[in-house]
Amino acid sequence: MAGLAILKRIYLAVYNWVVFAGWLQVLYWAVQTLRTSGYEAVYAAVERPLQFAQTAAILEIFHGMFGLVRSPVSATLPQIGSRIYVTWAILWSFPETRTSPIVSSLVLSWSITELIRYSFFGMREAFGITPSFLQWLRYSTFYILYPTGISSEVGLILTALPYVKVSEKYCLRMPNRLNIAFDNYFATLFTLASYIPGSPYMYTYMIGQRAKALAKAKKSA
Amino acid sequence: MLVTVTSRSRKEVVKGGIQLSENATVKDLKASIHKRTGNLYPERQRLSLPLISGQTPPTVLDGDKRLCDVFPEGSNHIVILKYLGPQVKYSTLFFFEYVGPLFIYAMFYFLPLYKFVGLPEKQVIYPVQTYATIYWCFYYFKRIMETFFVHKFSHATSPLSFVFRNCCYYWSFAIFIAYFVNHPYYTPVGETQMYIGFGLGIICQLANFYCHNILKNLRDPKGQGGYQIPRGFLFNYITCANYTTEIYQGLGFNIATQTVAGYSFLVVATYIMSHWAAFRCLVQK
Repeated sequence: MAGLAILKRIYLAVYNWVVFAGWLQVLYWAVQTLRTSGYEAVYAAVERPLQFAQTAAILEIFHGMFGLVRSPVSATLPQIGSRIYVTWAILWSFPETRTSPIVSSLVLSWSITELIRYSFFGMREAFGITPSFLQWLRYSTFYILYPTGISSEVGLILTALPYVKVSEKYCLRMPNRLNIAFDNYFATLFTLASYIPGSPYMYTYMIGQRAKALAKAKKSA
Repeated sequence: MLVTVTSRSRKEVVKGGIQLSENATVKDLKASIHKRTGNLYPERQRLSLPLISGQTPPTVLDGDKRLCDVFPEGSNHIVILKYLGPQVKYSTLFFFEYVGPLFIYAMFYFLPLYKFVGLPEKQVIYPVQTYATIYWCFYYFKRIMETFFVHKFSHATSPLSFVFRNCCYYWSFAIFIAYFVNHPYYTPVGETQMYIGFGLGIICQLANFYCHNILKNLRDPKGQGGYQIPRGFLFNYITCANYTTEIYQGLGFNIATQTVAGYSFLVVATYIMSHWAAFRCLVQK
């Protein structure tokens, strides 16, 4: 159905550019604040656009599930999962982490990566062009930005750990009628552990994607 | 006849092909392939016919069929070989799946494990916790016995990787449930509810055992395999009554013990069994 295909394209074009605008704000305010006030104030300056842009990404899981985009859910889920976790379960839930310098490295890594990614897809959906420079950026900057982003995520979770333990936030204790308990400290440790297999998996996935993209570009050149 | 054996990328697996008698079966072909290659055990071979354009699932060759029946008229006799990797018997797979929960649950009931997570040891053990342990352990013991003495399996083997994957599923849920039912701060339900729960569970386990026996008697003693529609007892009303009784016995256990852990296991297991049942319904139609 041609109509459906056009609708899908308009939706994806709008989605990508709107989220791009969100990340642009994040980067702008992060850089501005670093220049004027210093790293402790970065979170406060970027909080709203960051939460908006990062949470919107949840839609991408459904894009993959319903075949709107080709990305497999197995690659999008861990990425979005860790981002949402750090944004809400760490930064928003534990204000003590917000003044850390790691927030700056996190926000810069995320925003630069996402600006490249969303503009790349936005160009493709809205204008049908895939500028080779953008494509090169998309499949090369991750070599640096994935390690810096992942280390920042892990660093912030580690920073939050003592506060997680002491505050008992989100913990569910027994006895209760449903005979269920949840220990946030244990869960946080488990999440940290998941970065050990998770990071190489995501990194090598991107390396594979890069090889595929470059091979395709070579063939059509 | 001469049969050419190639891989999926059309490279010849056995140089020069295999010479077989006119009456040879697929099983004979697999045995010859094994003899010629040395390491390709028959269970690790999946033989299929070359894909006709547009065809998606390949035509897999069944062991007992004669080769002359399998090849279409006037074709070159080519089979495609897919290497399935190390295989295990279904009974082996099931045994490891079930032996884990049997011992894991008992460990949480008998051993002072909770001190390792900083909890005090149980001051009191409720009757429901004792009955739950007996019920759960008997349930997995029954499953193991059925694996070796009741079930007749269709395909000979399943991939080795399934052992790891399936044991993760069964053993993780066993730990999850055993941890909460035997927890020092466990809150039991009322006595009536407990009896209703275990009563339902026992009745369904008996019904389930009877269903398994009906299914066992369906299979041809010569091991012909293939699917047949079960009749009698609950099968007159429900397609996969063995799964239904399985689900309701799980419900019984949960009514008696009431944990989020137990109910979540029930939900996942029901979801998985629904998929199997849907597949079976499709095949039987």
